Amino acid sequence: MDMSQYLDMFLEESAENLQYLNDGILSLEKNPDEKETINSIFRAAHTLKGMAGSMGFTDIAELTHKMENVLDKFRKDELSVTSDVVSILFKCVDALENMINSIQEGNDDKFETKEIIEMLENIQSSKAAININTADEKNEIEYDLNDYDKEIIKQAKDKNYKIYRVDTTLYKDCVLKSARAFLVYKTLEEAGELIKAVPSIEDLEQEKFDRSFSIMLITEKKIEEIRNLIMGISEIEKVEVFEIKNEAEAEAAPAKEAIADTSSLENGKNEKEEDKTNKKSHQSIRVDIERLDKFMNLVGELVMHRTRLEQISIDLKKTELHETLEQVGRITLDLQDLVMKVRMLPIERVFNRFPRTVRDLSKELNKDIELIIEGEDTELDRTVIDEIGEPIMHLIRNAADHGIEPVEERIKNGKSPKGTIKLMAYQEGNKAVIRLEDDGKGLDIEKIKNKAKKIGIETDGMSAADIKNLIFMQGFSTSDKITDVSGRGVGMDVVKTKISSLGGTVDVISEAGKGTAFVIRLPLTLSIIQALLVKVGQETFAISLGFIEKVINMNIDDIKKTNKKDVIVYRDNIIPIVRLSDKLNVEDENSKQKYVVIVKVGEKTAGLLVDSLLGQQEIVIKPMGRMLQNLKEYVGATILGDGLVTLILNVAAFV
Amino acid sequence: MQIVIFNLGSEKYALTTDIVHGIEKMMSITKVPTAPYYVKGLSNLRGSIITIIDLKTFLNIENNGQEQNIIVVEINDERAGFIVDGVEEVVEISDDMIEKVDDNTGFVKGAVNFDKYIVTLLEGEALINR
Repeated sequence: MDMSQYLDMFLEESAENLQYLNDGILSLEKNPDEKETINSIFRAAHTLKGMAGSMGFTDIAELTHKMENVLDKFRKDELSVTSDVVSILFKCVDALENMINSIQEGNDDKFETKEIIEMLENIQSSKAAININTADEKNEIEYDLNDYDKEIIKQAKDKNYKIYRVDTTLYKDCVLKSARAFLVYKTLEEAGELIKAVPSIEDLEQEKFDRSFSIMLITEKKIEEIRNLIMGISEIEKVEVFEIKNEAEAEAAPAKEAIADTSSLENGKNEKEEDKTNKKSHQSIRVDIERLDKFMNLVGELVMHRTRLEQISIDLKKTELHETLEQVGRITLDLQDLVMKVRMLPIERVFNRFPRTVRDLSKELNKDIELIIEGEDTELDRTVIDEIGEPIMHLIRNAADHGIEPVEERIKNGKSPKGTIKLMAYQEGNKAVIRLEDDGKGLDIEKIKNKAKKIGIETDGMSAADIKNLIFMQGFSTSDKITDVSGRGVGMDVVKTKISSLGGTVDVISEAGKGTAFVIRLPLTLSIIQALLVKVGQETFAISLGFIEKVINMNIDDIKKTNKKDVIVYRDNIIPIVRLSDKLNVEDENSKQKYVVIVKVGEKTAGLLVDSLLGQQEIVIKPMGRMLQNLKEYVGATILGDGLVTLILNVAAFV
Repeated sequence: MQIVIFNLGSEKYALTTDIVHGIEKMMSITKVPTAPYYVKGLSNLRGSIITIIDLKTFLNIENNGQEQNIIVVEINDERAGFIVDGVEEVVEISDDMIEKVDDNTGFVKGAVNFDKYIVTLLEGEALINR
């Protein structure tokens, strides 16, 4: 068994604990006297230390240990929380994050921590008190020895070997329990021969134990030696070693006076007793995302073949087959629903790093900014969650840098000196909406127009909303100066590209002097979608129903021209027409009767002109190879019931 | 190493077998409008979608309508199919049989001289990563 299999777990849990640290320190800054906060930071640091120690990442363990020492002073009221201390703690968290990232990238955890450790040591001028904790629990583990085991014990006795029973108790908050247990029995195995373990070695490996386990060992070594060996492993709360004189005694509970328990010298173990009933409340398991992806792909394939079967069934016209297929259809639908839900995560995962970002930004920019988060329990597909953080981060940086005015300016304009950035998530139909608002100065239309003119875009005749949306174009930064925070002119188009790659849209709404809002709309689920199949000339394409407002049948002569652009008038609305045949270089059918698929992308509406409709179908989006990935006209391809590959149009690219 | 020899127009070409995933008959190909000129389209290879490249177009060889096979290659988890006129055979060669040739395209690994004919050994990875 090697440690690498624990690495993923370690990384994931480290990320969680780093988040706890960040959150904790943030709230500590606001309420310096909150004991519970200090405790939670302490716990996170402690857990990290333990995990890092067990994985052999000594630098992380050392830094967190030093953090613990400082935090311990807070708990004992020997130190008070100042903004300096908070900054240093933040620096520690950043350093830890760097180290963990470095591990994730396959490097070691070496990182220049000397400076930070010195800072920590300065805070904590006196040596940390050593807190000896006398544990009061005794383990009453019963061994169930069979005749064979007894025989071994007897033989060992005859050969003058000693038989020990080693009872080990791990820390209450030990995270990698099985790794710990592994280290313990590995160490014992090197010292002698293991006869029995309670719970069994298998259960220990699978973490099927609380935090105590007992191992029976035949060895030549002394009690003290064995105990010291085990105490050398970190996160061990207590080890008891008893000598067993005869096989009858082996089965009984050990005599109490055997060895006084040795408590570890780790300080700060006086965490509250965890509520035992709590244990069952989290009925969840961690699953490797790859397995979920595989699961998802398999369900996708099932859906594909079901569609195929349905096609065959229609051709065969057998009622029995049809009925069975309907059942299969229902089950696949449920299965699909389930796998989607399994992959969904609350957006909290993304949002919870932003309070820290905003705090740092307000320090850096010398502005007073408050971040309000709402709807963080809105759920999105894991893929979206993984990707959406970066664009939101860009938008927040922009809002803080360009949106929110400096304090003096805000006061002059009669606004509250404190700027507000509001980050909201909510569900709207089959879309998830993320809305980021600031109460800053809003977009300057004139500035955008000037910039547009400079890079050769004609803005005459464009609506104000369209002009504002120009900021998503490449190389479009209206900021006069480039700052560290934003304004390099790469941000906004990156934001848009990223969001469209997730099948979403982004729009900007802004009112001068009042603020700016960015509205991101994302599909709730990816991979399996309802689509309309259309024909343009000889080619078939799929269009996601998520974008389709309406489909209308019309005569080609109804298309009118305004300002050299094709439009139709539908229910008193003027809708621009996009001739897909032109856009895709496909020869269209030479008929007068056409269909217009009216699509809505964000705030924009357009009509896609197609030759005919082939009906609605559930399709599985499959990515196209790397060679075709930069074609922006398609979001991917799918395999239809007849086995043919069909392209899925990226509606946003045409509107 | 093993190479698979195939025809493109009047010449013989080859790919090393370590990147060859399989050899298929011609299959139906869905055109991808707006794709690069040498991409013939997409095909369904037993449930997964692969990009099909017209190797003759790619290498500037005149099209003769003799396409018979698709050689499916897999490089860095990316699968693609090359349309060829017909696969001849798989032969074992040694490294020293590969002669360097003047090539500024980067698609050619070298030439192998088999007395009766000469085979141009192509660099599969370069073809896919273009």
